[in-house]
Amino acid sequence: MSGASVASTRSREVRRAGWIASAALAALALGTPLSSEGQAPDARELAVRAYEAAYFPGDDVQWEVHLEVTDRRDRVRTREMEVLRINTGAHRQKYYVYFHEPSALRRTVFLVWTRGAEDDDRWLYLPATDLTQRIAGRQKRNSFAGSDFTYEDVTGRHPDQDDLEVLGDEMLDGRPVWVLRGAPRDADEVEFGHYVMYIDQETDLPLKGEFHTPDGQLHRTLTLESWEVIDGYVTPTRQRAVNHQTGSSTVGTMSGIRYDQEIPDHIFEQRFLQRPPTPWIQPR
Amino acid sequence: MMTWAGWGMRSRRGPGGKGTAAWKGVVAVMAMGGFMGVADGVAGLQVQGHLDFGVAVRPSDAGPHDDRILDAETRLLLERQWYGDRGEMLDLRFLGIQEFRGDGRVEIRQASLFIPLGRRLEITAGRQVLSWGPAQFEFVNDRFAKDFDSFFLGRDLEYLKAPNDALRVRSFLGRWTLDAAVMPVFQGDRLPNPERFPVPNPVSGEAEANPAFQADLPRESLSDGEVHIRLDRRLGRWEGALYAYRGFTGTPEGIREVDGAPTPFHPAMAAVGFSLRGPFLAGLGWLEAAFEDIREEDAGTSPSLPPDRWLALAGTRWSPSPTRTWMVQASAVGQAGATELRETLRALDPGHPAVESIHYRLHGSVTQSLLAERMEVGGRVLWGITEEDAHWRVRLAYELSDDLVFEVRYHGFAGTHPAERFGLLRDHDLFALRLRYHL
Repeated sequence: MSGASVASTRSREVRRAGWIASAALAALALGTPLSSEGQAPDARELAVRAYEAAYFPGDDVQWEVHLEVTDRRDRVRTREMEVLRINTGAHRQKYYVYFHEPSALRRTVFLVWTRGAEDDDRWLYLPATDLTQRIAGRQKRNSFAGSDFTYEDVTGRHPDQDDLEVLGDEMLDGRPVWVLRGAPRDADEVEFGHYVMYIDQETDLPLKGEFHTPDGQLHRTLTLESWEVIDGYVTPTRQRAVNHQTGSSTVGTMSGIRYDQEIPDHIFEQRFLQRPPTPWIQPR
Repeated sequence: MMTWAGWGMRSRRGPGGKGTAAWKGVVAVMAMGGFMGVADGVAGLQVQGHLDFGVAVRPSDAGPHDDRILDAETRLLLERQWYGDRGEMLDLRFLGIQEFRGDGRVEIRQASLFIPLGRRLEITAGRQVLSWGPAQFEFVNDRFAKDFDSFFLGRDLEYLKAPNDALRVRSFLGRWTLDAAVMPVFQGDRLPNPERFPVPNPVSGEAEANPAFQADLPRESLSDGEVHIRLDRRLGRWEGALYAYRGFTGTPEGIREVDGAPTPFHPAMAAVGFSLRGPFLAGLGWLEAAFEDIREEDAGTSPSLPPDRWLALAGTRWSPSPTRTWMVQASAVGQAGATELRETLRALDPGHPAVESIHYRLHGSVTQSLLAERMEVGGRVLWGITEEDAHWRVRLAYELSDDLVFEVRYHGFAGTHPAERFGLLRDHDLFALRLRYHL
């Protein structure tokens, strides 16, 4: 992405955040939902807006993640990590995920280059063996660090990978949402048969996603439990994933979120797997 | 490629010193941990690592080794990394090993200083564990020292490589990355402990219990050191690399007269190769090849020396479901020339695998995670098609908590030729139990 288009994207984001804040205030004042006059948007356009709202705010961002994984026997495991992300082009990004905890995962690094609807490039650095493993594109549906989130939940699923349909609009926890149904174009690539996503009409954020098995059973639910406007961007701060088949659930809490820090592109390279890119990542 | 010739022999310069006092190794490392802890207390940091309890037993009492307990040990690894303001990193890892019926010892696994010099150059100096290349368990272009004892006993992956005293230089040249690792003193592979496993007598070729051979090592001089070079770059979504090596064979594959006695030694060797890794079908694929030039007079004509050879390997890994991963890898090792030598061997023993010019191997594995990734079960098979032998592993690991992992393994061996590779271990299947606590 050129500097001009990055600036333009950022400017649009800021304008949109401002619009959202104004509209939210207006909605509170008027007591009416913000849906666009009941006219259902185009399914792909809606999905792209949700994808961009959830994964693309800012030119770059840095945040900390605390994952709490609770199995069906109420045993709890935790993971702590730090994430760097930059946007590198149209629906293209780079992620650098550095694990602080637990001790078994300490200094492990997960590096991703997303490529829109194409398979991502993913690497996993294991410090104990000092080896960098390449992760197959189709392993993106694997569990992320033993949690109920998948690798793809972390970096996003591009709308062009699915056949999409707007099912209508409804209220979810008192907020107006569009209901979007998606089915994978390549059914062999994923474990789910279809999903239903509830997209907030005010923020475009996906508030809830229900993933169903090919035979129609509810397999996994993702819920956005809280979000904030940070540095002018609407930002998810707490998400929950529930695996209905295993009885396990994971709560992901995001903190220390800082946008547009001018994170340099060159640190998203394999050379920064062996040792973290200080001062962006500070090992504990 | 892992080679098996000469395994079981002791080197005259052995890796790591052994002590005799009980618990000496673990106690010493705890003391070092205390020192690092004090340093951490000053710097506000923490010491990290793990504590392993492991035991490996042989269910059968067949073969020359009567002792069914192959391994019973405690390993305490303490590590700490310190980071400087300019990207420098001091990396220390101390390992204390206490064998329950034997010696304790301390090993420095890592004591290296990483220094970035601008944006284009990085230097890592000191003791370090080195690995590179895409393959799993079999190595075509990675000639850093291996630890065969750890491989056979099923120790954690991080112990499959021995540490090296090396200077590593990385240079970033546009799209290319140049890696060079220089070892001033040659470090051979750590061979299986003959007190645990039956080994062949390298002179007679017969299997013996506990043959105490000592390999004659290259001189400790710069001219007899090792140089590993790797030049890599991205090729679209694939990663390509070129390799070169100058040093010696990792295992002592040659035999020469030393003080009037036939003695195993590490023949001088140079090698070049390449590797590719990238998306393939529904997963990943990799391809590697290398040519090894044995830099000894009479190589290819003398039965006391290995011939020049080429190695090739292709593999793929894919996940048909989010919890299951398959891997298949095929490899071949071919002898370059040495036709007359093979004909001579054929006349002596026409059925012996050594007379074949190309040796084929297949390697497959599957892993399945269960219980929300708390448990992992897996199987692995290495099949020597030409050698008519096989080694298989079954593994179950269970996370009792974030910090505590229990693991049980079964390693099986089979083979037609009793003095060759896995055939040598065909009555020596083993069970291994391991408990790891992450500090």
